[in-house]
Amino acid sequence: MGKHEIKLRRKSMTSRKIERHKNYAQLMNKHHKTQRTKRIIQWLILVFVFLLGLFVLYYSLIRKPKTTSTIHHHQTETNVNTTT
Amino acid sequence: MTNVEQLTYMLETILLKPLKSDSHMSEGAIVAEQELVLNAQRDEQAFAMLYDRYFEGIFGFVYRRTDDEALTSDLVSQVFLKALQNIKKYEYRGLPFSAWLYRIASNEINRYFRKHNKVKVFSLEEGRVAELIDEADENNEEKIALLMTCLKELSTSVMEVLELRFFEEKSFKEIAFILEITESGAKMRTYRALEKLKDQFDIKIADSNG
Repeated sequence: MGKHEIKLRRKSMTSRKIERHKNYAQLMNKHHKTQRTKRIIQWLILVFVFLLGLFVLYYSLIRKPKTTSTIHHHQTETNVNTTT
Repeated sequence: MTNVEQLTYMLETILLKPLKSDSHMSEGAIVAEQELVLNAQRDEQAFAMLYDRYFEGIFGFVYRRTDDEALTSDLVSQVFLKALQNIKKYEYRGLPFSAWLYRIASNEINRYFRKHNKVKVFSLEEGRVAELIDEADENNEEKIALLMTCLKELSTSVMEVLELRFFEEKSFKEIAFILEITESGAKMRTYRALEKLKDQFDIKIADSNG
């Protein structure tokens, strides 16, 4: 069974009628608008990725000294234990 | 006249003939057209040439599949916008540029009907249908009506192929590209549809190209 409708048209579309729908200027406007939106989205994504990178870098730098100091603290503690 | 009598009558009289048109592009013309496409890829202002060349064809195709002038205008605008946005991704595959536009148009039409959950439409021009029928006689309208009933019984995917083949006069290679199926698949769908129609009509098709 078909899941479509078949219609029979008495009149066919004339070139003149179709011509009325042509609007290249409008097409270009739409294109430039979508391009601008695309560029803004791309820029926002780039900023987000950059900020995320900074955030990761910042936390990795903050954590590093903490871990080294704890190791250092732990080492000094063991040293003290051995001397006593 | 009963339906059976009608069918017997049709069996003797309906003949499909090729359309008198020179819409098929020669290889030389396809290669020459690529120059225009390359220009459009370099400079989007050059896209205007392609827009002018194919607007009418794409409009006719979309209109046949929607039967709504305003909707067709919107969809065609969307088709050319997508083409313009993706022109740099276009790759030459030995087919006319129009095949790529028809593919975008076909996808846009399908997306519209899927989104709005509507029944697909094939709005065929009576003149074109009559052109397909060999002999013009007083029973032409009856024949056309019966042919319409038969076409309604076919599956939508088959109708898509038939429409591209007999109304848009595309080669099987182009149909395969437009509908994203294999060439043999397109041929198979056509021949199956014709076999079904042959049960009710005496069909003769000069199917030389493509």
